[in-house]
Amino acid sequence: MDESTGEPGRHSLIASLRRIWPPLVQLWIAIVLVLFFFIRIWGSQTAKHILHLLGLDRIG
Amino acid sequence: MSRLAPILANLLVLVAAVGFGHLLNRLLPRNFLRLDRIAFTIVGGLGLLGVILFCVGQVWFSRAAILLIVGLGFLLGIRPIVAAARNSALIVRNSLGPAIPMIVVVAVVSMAGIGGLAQATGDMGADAIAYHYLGPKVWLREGVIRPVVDECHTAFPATVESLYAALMSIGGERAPQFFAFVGIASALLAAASLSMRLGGGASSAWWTAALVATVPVFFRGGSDGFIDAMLAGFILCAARIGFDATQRKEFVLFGVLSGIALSAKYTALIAWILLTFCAFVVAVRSRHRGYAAVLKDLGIATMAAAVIGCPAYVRNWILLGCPIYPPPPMLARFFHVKYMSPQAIQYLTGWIEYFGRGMSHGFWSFLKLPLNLTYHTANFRGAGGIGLVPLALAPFGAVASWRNGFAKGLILYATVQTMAWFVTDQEARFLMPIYILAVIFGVAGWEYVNRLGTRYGRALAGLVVACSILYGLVMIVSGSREDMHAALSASFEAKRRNAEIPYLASFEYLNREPSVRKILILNPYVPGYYCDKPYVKPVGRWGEETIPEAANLEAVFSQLPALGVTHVLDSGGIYGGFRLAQDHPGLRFVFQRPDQRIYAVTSLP
Repeated sequence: MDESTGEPGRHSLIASLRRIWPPLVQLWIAIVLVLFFFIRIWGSQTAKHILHLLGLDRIG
Repeated sequence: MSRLAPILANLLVLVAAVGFGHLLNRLLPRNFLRLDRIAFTIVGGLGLLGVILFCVGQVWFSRAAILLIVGLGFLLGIRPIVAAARNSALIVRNSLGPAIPMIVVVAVVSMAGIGGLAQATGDMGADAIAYHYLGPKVWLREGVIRPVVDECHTAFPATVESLYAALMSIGGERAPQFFAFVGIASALLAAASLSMRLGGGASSAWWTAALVATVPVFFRGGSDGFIDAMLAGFILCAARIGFDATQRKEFVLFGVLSGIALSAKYTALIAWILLTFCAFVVAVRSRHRGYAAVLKDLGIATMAAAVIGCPAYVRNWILLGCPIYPPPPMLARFFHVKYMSPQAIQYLTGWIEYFGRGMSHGFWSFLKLPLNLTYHTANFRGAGGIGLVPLALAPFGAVASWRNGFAKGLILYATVQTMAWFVTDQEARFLMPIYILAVIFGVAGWEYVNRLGTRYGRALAGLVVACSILYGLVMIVSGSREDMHAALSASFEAKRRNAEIPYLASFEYLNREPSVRKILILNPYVPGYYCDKPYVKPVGRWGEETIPEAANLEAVFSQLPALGVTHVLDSGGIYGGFRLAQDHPGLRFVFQRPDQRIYAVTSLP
């Protein structure tokens, strides 16, 4: 809450970002790992199909 | 002895490099760490030694000349090495890091060394055979460094190839292969030095070295004659000094290292321009220096780079008609070059565009580039990938270092260099300095994630690092297993030699027979590297024409007596049928194997 206006303001936005930043970081790393296992380890047609749906079908 | 000579030759060249590199120490800032000094001494020294060999080699490249230059460097190198040996206990104590990355680095560098003891084999598809080693072999035979006109790639800037030639002269044909050990280790030193500049300690430096070493493209680009790891070392050292430079002498060193990069590979031309631009931005924006002063310093750096880097370009202009040979299409309009017709240049350009097409040049492809480089480098002729750390952790390293002006310079350089690579030639190896920077930021990002303090974050980041290293090791071991096997087993090496050297029986005959003095090789795809005696190849694989009207066989034969040719090698097989009838007038049939025929020249018009 911005104390001068009583509205949600910049400080609360930064606080919110700070709160969700660590989970976002974890999510990003997890996605990279999952894609790695999909493409390099599993390397299956299913992975390719999912990537096709995501428009990333030229990968893998 | 065949294994010891390459090792001793590399040791000799390394000491000589330390000798020349130590001269650069006076240009280094006082606040440089010991690791920085070691990295600059070795990387800069190897570059300087290569440049000196190349320049002297333009007029004199006998074994005596090579020994004189290497010997001078060796003498200069004794004092700093003795001084370092006196402090060795302290250096070792300060250099130790966590066990795992140290083991990984030692393992990868050892694999490069062991694999590098195997004899080089392969056909014209192997760059080492086609030109990286062909040039040095021919230069040593002729006693002068000149482009081998039937293989236009030997006209490339040749600082590293000049080192190969010195190694070949001192330690035999295996010595340049073993240089993988030296090249990879020195590039890792440059990477570790940059990592410490970004605020990491000895631990970060070791993890950086381990993660870079296990990037399969890096390993590939540092072994089998490829010079890309060495080039990355030159460029990273230039960035290290250039983005921190405040004094005139530091800008001079920036120029010297940029010039060494220029003298090693054409792609460094773009890197040099971009490094200079980024050094300007860093000096003005982060160091708050005036435009005029920075431009003056960078002007001096540019002059230093031009002096060190220009010999190969001037040589090409004088001898071949264009500073960049073979000329890119833009230059081909203005320069008329020797030995290559416009059709041959077009043919070569077509192949370069085909190899460098990557995954298209569109904007969407550029956005997907981090994913594509991580998961499918095969489309970039990528030799196994770049690991997970760049994609997973480097963005957080950039976030963590955002207030650091030096880091901002590196990020700017990585961005513009990647864009330049993307729009020009998307060959995975050519982006090697950026992979190394990405790993360096990845390690900074790993530390940042650990500092965030979440348990899952730490575990996931650790898993990324483990996967990167293990995956990289698997790729590297599978790729270099045959080399290591060949180095350790004479019988396997003989088997591989028979399987992988095309027309081996003919080369053995020609190299053995004392009556053979000069050979005419008719097939453009026969690798001249395996020929120990002078040879003439009328047409090269890219359409180079070494003799006027070389495409016309009769015209070639009419010039044989003047060329001093004593034998003709004709070959068939996958590269086309025999070119000569067995009863060709003026020739006597002397040797035959499947797809191989040799004739002695008896009497020709």
